Amino acid sequence: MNTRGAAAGLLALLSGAASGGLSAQEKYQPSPDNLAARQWYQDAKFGMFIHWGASSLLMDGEWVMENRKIPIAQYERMAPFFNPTGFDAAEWVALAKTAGMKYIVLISKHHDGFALWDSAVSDWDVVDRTPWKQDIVRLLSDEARRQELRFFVYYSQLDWHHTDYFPRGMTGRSAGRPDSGQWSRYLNYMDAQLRELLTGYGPIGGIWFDGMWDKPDADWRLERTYRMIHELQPATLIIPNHHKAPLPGEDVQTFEKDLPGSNTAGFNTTSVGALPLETSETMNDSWGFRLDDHAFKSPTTLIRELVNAAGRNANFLLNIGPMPSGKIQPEFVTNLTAIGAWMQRHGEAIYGTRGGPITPRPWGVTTQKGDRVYLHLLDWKDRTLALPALTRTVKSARMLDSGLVVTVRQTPEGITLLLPTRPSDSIDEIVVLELGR
Amino acid sequence: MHLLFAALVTSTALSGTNSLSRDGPILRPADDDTIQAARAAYRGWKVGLFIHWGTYSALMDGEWVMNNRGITAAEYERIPPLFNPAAFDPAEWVRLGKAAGLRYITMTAKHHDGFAMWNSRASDWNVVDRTPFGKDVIGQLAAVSAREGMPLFLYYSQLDWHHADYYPRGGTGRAAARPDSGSWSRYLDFMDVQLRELLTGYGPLAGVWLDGFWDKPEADWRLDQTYRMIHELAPQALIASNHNGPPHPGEDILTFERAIVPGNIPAGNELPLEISEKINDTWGFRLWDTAYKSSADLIRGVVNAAGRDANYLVNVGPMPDGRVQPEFVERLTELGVWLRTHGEAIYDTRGGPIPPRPWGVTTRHGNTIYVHVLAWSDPLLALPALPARIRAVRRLLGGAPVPYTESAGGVVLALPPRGAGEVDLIVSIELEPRP
Repeated sequence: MNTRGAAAGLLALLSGAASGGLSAQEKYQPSPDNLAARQWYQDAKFGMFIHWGASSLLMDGEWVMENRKIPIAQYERMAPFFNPTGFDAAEWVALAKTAGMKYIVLISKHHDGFALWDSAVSDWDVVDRTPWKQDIVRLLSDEARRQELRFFVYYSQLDWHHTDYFPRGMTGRSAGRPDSGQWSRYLNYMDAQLRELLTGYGPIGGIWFDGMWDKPDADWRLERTYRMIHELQPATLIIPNHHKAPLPGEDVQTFEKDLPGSNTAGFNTTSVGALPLETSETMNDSWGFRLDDHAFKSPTTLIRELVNAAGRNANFLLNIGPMPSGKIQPEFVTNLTAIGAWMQRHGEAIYGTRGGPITPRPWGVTTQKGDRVYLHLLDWKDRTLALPALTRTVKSARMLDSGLVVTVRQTPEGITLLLPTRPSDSIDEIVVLELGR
Repeated sequence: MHLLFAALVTSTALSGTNSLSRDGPILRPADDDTIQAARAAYRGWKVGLFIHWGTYSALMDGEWVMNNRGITAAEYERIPPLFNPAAFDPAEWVRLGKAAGLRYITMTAKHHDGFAMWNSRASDWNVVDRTPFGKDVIGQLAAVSAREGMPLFLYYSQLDWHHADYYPRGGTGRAAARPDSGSWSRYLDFMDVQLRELLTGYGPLAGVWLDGFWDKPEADWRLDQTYRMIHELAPQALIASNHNGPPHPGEDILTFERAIVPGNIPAGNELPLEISEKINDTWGFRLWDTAYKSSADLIRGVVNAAGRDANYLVNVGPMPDGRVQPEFVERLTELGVWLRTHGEAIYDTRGGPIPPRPWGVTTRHGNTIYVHVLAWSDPLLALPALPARIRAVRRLLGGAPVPYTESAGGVVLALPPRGAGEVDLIVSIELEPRP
């Protein structure tokens, strides 16, 4: 830690001291900029999550420090080996664009506490500790802006490296830290780091928080942190991965490896609030690069999850874990390219839409944009399909791919469609309904 | 192994060589009335009770406990002296099966630990010789089943973690600390002797349910000889084998754990199908396994199997005292209540003309199609075209007519509202007899 960092920490402390003892930003009224950012975010629909850091060197996922119980003293020995000569920010951003993604969420600090920017309040960062010495947040945020993608950062509230993360939570107990530390000092440190990110790197689309679940009963001083974020950049969306119903001050409700409302992961809430929604997902079974993880999801599986998310009014945040070299493994590139090709042809039914008038059904989901309702037939093989009645009449219907007309029969009980042919085995057979007034 | 056993093995192996024609066909001819009738009857039963019970139940940690915990054969032999199920009552098991609407029982006679639940003369590693309980469990269950008219299959594990001659070892059972030698053919002789005991002393059996072939998939299991012996000793007995592959010649049932594997069903298959499933996550009793499926899950399991033209074999693992845990009894009883009112659309049916759909499945009995609507909440349901004109459409419960429209694309049903807690909304469609 240097003097500039100490000053920033003190500032954060002072600015926060004025606020009350609320557990979150109770009286939060999103600013017009923030509301506009939410609209943009919901229109964008598809983003890239990037898990990369010192942990990538061990090629065993981002939890390797905890899973292998590596003490800090040993873990720190890795930093001098971090020299990703194949890193090219332009390549990463271009891949996201190819896939049809509209924003990037980069890990700025994961649970190991290692900062991917030149943090002033700690030297446990990529510039101070590695021979490579480059500010990844800087390189990638600049490049994202250049290629017109919005740039978000992930920030881990949980920290396995910082001494003041004390009392400890459920994890990070084998890091070899002293059994003492000052919680409020850690929170000041976190606020100082967030301030650095929000003041030094241009517009930040959002802060994607993670790790609060490590100490569910602690006072995280969310009120102060959330207020600081919204004061520094009103349009920055606060996206907390705390697996609970939204708290005041938050702007997006995100679901880790689950569609909104379901809990196959075992730690998600099934309570869906009124905020914009997001589902995050891995391309195989790992977030950070894992050499022996070959459980790659197919493009079909991933596209269907994207469609299922859109039909539930949610964004889809799809992860890559670049390799220690900075390159992205070829399987991910292939998948993202295939998804991008599909989005090129079917993006009309995804981008800019909201969840449609028919909630998810056994056959699939619906999205809507203006007078158009898109039926996404994910699991339907018959020529006829019965829908529930809609509040508006259907003027016409057609297949998105072929343009062929779909016959519509409307009765008070519902709508029966006669498709021109049996649905093909495609990833998502899309029917477009034009609604009348 | 004792002297009597060795003598028996030798004599049986010899007599087997003499009495069985090694070159004869083991696939029974398709016009074999006995086997065709047995397969047809089996299909009609549709639901069965699987029972996993053995000396392993004393450890209350599932039937794989010996392998999972790396228990040696010597250590494992200390368990049978602790096996004394004071509340064992096979009549109660059969009563439970009947109350649940289940039409056959498949009971573990020998699981992978090699422990015989009958008074085997081929080895004293059995319930009569090694436990203070001393009763022939299979004998008692077979007697009650015969009296109650409940068809009985016996499960027999080809894989054996206890027998020294199960050598070379397979993928499991390597921590049993057996000598690194043994005669594979002697083990197969032993297996045939035990199967002969079961088929001749406890019958007539509905069939034999084999398991464990997968432990040594490349080995020569001498299936021809064993299957021929079974078919000759008990022409009515069906052979099922849980080997996770396409059927071997001589087998009568394709059985699947949890779900059908379409790739294992040969084109033009005429064998009955079966799906086995647990009520929680364990076959043998596990004290702390509380991941119970609901009775609705069990009903869906039965319906989904029937709609795939398969029987549903639902498992219980009785406790060390011989009783079935109350959670299983409760759920099975609820399944039985449902089957009493909806059994028309399950028993004696075959898979219907519409393959499984996202909304559910169909079954068929004669000219009647049963549409099982499991997952559909909208008033209208579109079906693809049916093989004949419709004569009448009714709700199964109560028989009220169900409005429908027929068109080129298919049939649209105006579904009645689903009752509270109604898992499977069944619509019966009576078709015109085909010309």
